Amino acid sequence: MKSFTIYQDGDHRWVAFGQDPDKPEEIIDTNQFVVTSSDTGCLLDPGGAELFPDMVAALSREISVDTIQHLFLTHQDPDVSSAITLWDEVCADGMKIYISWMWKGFVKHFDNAARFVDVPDEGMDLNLGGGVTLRAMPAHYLHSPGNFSVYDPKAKILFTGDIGAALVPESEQGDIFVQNFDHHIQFMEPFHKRWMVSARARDAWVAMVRNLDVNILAPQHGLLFKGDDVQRFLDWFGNLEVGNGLSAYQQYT
Amino acid sequence: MAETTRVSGAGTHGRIDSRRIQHAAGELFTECLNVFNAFSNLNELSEDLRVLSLNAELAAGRAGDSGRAVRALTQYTRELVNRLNQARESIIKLNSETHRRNAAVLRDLHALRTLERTHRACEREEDCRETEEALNKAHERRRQEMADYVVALTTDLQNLSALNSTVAEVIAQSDSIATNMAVEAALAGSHEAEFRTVAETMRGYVEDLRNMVDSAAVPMKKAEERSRTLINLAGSGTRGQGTSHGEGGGKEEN
Repeated sequence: MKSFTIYQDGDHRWVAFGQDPDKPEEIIDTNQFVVTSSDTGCLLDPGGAELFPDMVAALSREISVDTIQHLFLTHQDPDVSSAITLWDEVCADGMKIYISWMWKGFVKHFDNAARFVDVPDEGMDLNLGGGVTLRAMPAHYLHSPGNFSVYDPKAKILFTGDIGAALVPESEQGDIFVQNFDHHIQFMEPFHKRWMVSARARDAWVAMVRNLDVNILAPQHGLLFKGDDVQRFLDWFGNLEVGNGLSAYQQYT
Repeated sequence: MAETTRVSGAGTHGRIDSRRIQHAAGELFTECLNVFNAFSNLNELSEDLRVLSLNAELAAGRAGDSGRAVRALTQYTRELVNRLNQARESIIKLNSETHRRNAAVLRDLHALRTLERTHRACEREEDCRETEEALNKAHERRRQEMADYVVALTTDLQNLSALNSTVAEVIAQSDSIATNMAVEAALAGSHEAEFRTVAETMRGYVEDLRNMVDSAAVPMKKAEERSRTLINLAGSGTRGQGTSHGEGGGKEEN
């Protein structure tokens, strides 16, 4: 699994992991992130159980796993949460797992003994130390009904979970950032049309993000958006017709 | 890739063979199910015996003084029926516990295999010592938890064996009652035929119960052999033995 340091200022770092050449073909490609500050690490959507071995190996190249004291799940999907019982076993004692209040009881099916923190609908701040605070911000219904983006105002990075996700063919991978936005649309459009369910939620989220100072928009799948591509993405997403799975009902109504 | 991994720093209990453990656990589980299946008609036979004892008591009442001894025998039969019912309830609970613990062993094996894959992935990295230590600790916790569940399965098997002995005792006592019932029938004059029918019916039930215990004996013996193999493979440590087995072993619940 490859790792990419996408931000560094002293001990404040963002590292992205993904584009694993050894990943089994049928498993969807995912990006995992770790944010560190003052010898404290926070994993963001650390990947599913199948990717756990390679993710731990890749992470250990960057930091010691016992510095991971926080694990944030943007939502409940298996590619996000199915390895939490294993992370809970190898990371620091007392590591906290953050997830929407509405998913805790569900994700506890993986690991009832883990220490969960309910993230309220309006979001919350997560202090890593060293003046670095991650802010969980609402992204409900995009796609999960209890869903969050994570913003680091100091690094100006917004981790968006499935928003901005793209299914990029291996032949198109290489750099972690989008190089040609128009070319990239083909890889993210089908995903967003189907997975994103609510235009109202989309509009609210886009309006919220336009008020943030974002230099990197980092989704859980595919490539990251940087600089002007962040605004291009917001413009594109803001005008996209979402929820196209509804057409399946037509034959019955 | 081989499933056996030497986990450094974990002592002799660090080495496990997850494939063989899964196979042995599967064999033990199958034999346990065979034992439970052997007892599947216990409820029906117990109920037949209860109804027979009630009918015999009515017949004894009609026989007056000639039925006094038979009445005492029927009361004793009902005590045996109660013992059978208690054994049946315990077998149902053990069946449920065996399923639960077998599933827990499979879950732990899955986690152990993933941790072993992680260990191999880390071994390919240059500086992974701290992560390997964390993995070793996690592996040892999981292995110990699994070993506790294996010990608990073995304890369940011992309890099942004890219940099998209980049923065998009830059979011997029921057989004796049937014999005494036949003797009393011979002394019951005009009620002889009625009491003899009760005695012969009871002998039939005793024979069915004996077949049940006999058919449980072979899988029980196999299960005991499999459990010894499984304990050796899982490297069952001392933590769970003689305690409340197989519950937890991971980090403390919040």
